[in-house]
Formats: sequence, structure tokens, C-alpha cells
Amino acid sequence: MNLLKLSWKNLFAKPLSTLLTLVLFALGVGLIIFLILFNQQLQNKFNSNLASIDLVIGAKGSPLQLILCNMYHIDAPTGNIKIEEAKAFLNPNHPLIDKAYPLSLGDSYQGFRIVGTTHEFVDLYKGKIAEGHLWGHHAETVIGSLVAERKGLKIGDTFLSNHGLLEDVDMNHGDHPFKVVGILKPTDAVIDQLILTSTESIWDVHAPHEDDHDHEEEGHDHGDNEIDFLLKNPDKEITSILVRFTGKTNYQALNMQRGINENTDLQAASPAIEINRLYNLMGVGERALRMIAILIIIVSGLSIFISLYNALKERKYELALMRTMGAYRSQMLWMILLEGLIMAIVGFVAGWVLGHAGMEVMSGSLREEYNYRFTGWIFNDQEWIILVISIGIGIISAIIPAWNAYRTDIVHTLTEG
Amino acid sequence: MILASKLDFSYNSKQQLSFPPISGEPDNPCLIIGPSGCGKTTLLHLLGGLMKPTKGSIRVGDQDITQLKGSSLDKFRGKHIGIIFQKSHFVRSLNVLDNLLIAPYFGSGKVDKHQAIEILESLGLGDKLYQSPSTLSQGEQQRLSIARVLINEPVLILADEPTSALDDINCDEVIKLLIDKAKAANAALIIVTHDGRLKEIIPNQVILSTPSN
Repeated sequence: MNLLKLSWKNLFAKPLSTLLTLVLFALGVGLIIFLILFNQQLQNKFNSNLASIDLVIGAKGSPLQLILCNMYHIDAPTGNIKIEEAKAFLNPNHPLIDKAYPLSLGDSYQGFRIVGTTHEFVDLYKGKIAEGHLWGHHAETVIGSLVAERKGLKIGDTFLSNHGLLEDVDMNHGDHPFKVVGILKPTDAVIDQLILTSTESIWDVHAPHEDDHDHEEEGHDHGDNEIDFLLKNPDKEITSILVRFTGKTNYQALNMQRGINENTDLQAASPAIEINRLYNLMGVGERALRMIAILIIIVSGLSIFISLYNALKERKYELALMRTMGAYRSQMLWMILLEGLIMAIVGFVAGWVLGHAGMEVMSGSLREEYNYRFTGWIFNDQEWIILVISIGIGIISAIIPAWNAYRTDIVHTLTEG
Repeated sequence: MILASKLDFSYNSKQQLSFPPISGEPDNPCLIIGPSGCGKTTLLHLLGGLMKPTKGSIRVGDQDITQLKGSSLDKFRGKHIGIIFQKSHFVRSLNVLDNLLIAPYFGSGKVDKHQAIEILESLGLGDKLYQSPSTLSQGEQQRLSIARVLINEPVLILADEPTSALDDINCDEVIKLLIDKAKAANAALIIVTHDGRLKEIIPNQVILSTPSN
């Protein structure tokens, strides 16, 4: 027998009202934990995929869409651009541009995007070959680790691409199978979920049938420099160019974005700025949810207070009895405080489990939709803060009933009862 | 053993109570009787250290409890004085055994489950250990109250109308049990009552009269 057991027994002498309080508390904590985990992982994903790209150049349209499509691969392209128009930015001797990565999007394999690009794109995301080698010509592809894992593709396997970014069997490019020649190690960046190939292979798939042969012949003599090959085909199209500047604080570089947007048919957008805008947009909804969660927790704190306060009226005689047995006033205070604390801690633990389990369940559907890896089994320092706040709410809710218990007058209570 | 002398108590300046000397020994239980309003319960509360007299001393064992204050009085009461009330009250969320165990937890500090079960068995409650006290009959509840007092091995047992809610058979049984167990535990027993049935059983009686203003 001790105070903790006494408090525990008291709480579960009225299981339903205790349960209601616990459910409320757990819901509030669970929602906040979920938001913390979701935010943390989303921001990590977005930030790790920024990959030091300063500018994305593509067709006119929504700048956010341009970034989401070409940096994060979760939105449709804004359109294609002619190499003729963009060749200045592909020029390796451009004074402001350190690196330029051309991307050709538009096809997919069972929900995984096929990206026509240069070998340097792999280095951009610090990708390493786990098996096989980088792609050459003739529809050779290197697949990200998630693609390999989810689709069970191995070196030497072939597959047919779909036109468009959706899974649609009716629209596949029947006569242009892709071949897997390499598999990348997991990077936790967006490259895990991509199928990489040469720009030329993308063009081949989309070329009118009679032209096929020409391109393949052409492919043999453009050598190793893919950029040069692109520049030799000014009439062809790509989707976008990811650009890294030579110096971050270069005034001319900063002006380049405005110059492109004002003077050309192209659009340039800064990933950092667009992603910040996205955070701000999401922030509104997230703040609303957070407020609701805090409100639920406050209501559950109130519920702790009311249940302890009401129970105390019925238990006054019990308290007086314990005092005649030799219990200190302070023990009565602690007994009630412990009841508030137990509810808060049990509620927190239940909410913690709920939040993590909810994230894990949710991560399943996020994986389905966006091929992004989320998990419920990561931990965040902010969770400690929530624990401390929960304990604080438990104490605050119990403090008035506990003080009443402290002041319980033995004789007065006994003679009244 | 208990010795209370020259006890005065006042709720306010108008109502003054003076009590005759009270003494109790383990082998000589003391019955305090008197009409309602004579201050019987007040006297019991004074003897139990629940209230402080305005004058006089109360010796319980070697200790004058009027000299004790706050938590040291709480501890002394818990360890050495057991109080049985007219109506039995228990902690509703605890079973019979746990209701008995909280007495040594708050009192002597020595919680011995085996001893508790032995006491309950000796009082005929051995088969009700895990029931809620509210399922017990009046007589059984009063026996549990007695068990709760005995477990701390007090030097003084105070009983406030322990039998007035009981029928004749239960009354007889409970009072004999109380006297026997107090004697066996070597504790002085003081019973406050207006229950005439007890006069025949306990010869040592102190009669209080209604105070005259």
C-alpha cells in the first residue's frame, strides 16, 4: 500500500469518467505528436532535396508547380522548352552558372517517373551505384533504390514506360522497352524514386516511328558529352534545367531570374523561395490543427479538474478518516496531485503511441501517393516538451482539489458526516 | 493507558465544557455516557488529539498529547491511538484487505499483509478479503473498523457509539469482540455512547451531564 497505489485505485474506481478524460488527453497529445513528426519529415525531405540548386528554368506557368515538378517530382510539368531558347543556360562556359542539369520528364513506369538527364544529376543527389553501371544510350536506365525495392527490378530487366505520369496501361510506349543497367544505393533524397536515363532515350521513345533509326545512329557519335549533344539538337525539347550558380551572392546571378522571367518565354524560379512559400501556405492549416489540439488538451485538463473536484466532495470523509489514521496533510495533497499526474502521464503515453502509430499508418498512404518514405518510428526532441507540458497540465488541474484535500478539517468533516 | 485531567474546552465564549477526569487501563475499559449535547463526542475528539482542549492534559502512554502539534500529532495518533466511529467509513475504491492495510501505511508504517489477513480471519472476515466494504453487513463493517484499529497495536482505542447502529445480537458480539481484542492487544479502551445496552457489560462508567451556562 502506498500513495501511488491509492491514487491509482481512486482513478479507476470511476473508470468511465477517467476513461473519457484519458481519451481526450490522448487525442490532443496524439494530434500534436503527429503534426510534429509529419512536419519534421516533410521539411527534411524538402530540404535534403534542395541539393544546392539555386534556380529552376522551365516553361511559363506556376513557379511553385515548376519547383514541385522538377525538384520534388510530385506535380505535373508546366510544359516543355526548346533547347534553342535555353541553350545559353546549358553552355558550360556561362560565367554565372557553375552546373546545369537538363531534365526531360513526362513518362513513367507504374507511378515512378522516368527522367532524361545527364550523369551529373546522380552526383547532385550524392547518388552512388550499388550494382551495374551508369546508363549509356539505347534506353538504358539506372533506377533508384525505392524503384528497385518496390517494383522488384533487377539488372538486365526490361520494362515499358507509360506516357504521362499516371499508371495507365493503355498509354504505354509498346515498342520502346527500357532496360535496367544500374541500381543506386539509397540516398533518402528524391533520386531514390526516379528512373534515370539519357535525354536521347526519352526523345527516342517519343519520336515518330520512322525517325527511330536515325536517332540511334546519331547517338553513336555524340560521344560522352551529353550537354554538347543537346546543344547540337536545338529543335528538340526538354522540360527544365536545374541551375547552380558559381557564387551565391553574385548580384548578376540574382538578377538572372528576373531577366529570364521578364525577357524570355522561359520561367525561372528559386526553389528556396518557393518552398518557403509552400511552408507558409501549409503553416496556416498546421497552425489551425495545432490550435485544435491545444484546445482539446486544455479541455481534458478541465475534465481532470472537474472529476477530481467532484470526487473530492464525495471523498472528504475518506480523507478525514485517513487523517485520523495518522496521514499527514501533505500526504493528502500528494494523493490528489498524483491522481492528476497519473492521468496526464497515462494520457500522454497513450497520445504518444497514437501519434506515432497514426504517422506510421499515414506513411503507408503517403508512400503510395508520392513515393516518399515516411515513418512513425522516428523521434523528435519536441516530444519531451509535450511531455513537460502534459505534466504541467496534470499538476495545474489537480492543484485546487489537492489544496482542498490539504485543508480538509478532520473534526468538522467527521461531525458533519 | 490514558489519563486525562482537568479538561476544559470551549467552542466559543458562551459554551464552556468541563470534563471530569478520565482514566483507562487495558484490563478496565471505560464507558462514557450521557445525554445528547453533553459533549461526549467532543471529549472523544479531545482524547484522540483531533481537537485541542483549552486547559488540562491528556497522557497517552508517556506522552502528553496536548503538547504535540501538526504532523507529529498526526503521527502519534496514527501509531498509538485507534478511533472507531459510529458509522463505519471506508475508502470506496479499495477492497477489504487494502482498507485494512492503509491503517498501518499511514500509522505505524509497518505494512504486513500476513498479519492483516490473520486479523481479518480472527474477526470472521477471512473470506471477504477482496470484496468491496460496501458489500459487508453493518456488523461486518464494524468488525472491519475494529480490525483497522487493532492492526496498528495502539495503546488507546477510542470508540464513538460503536454499537448504536447495530441490532442486539450484533451489538453484543461487537462489544465483546472489542473488549477482548483490546485486552489482548494491551490497549486501553474508552467507549462513548448513549447505548443503554452497554451499561450492563462495562462497569467502569463516567457520566457526563448537560453543561449549565
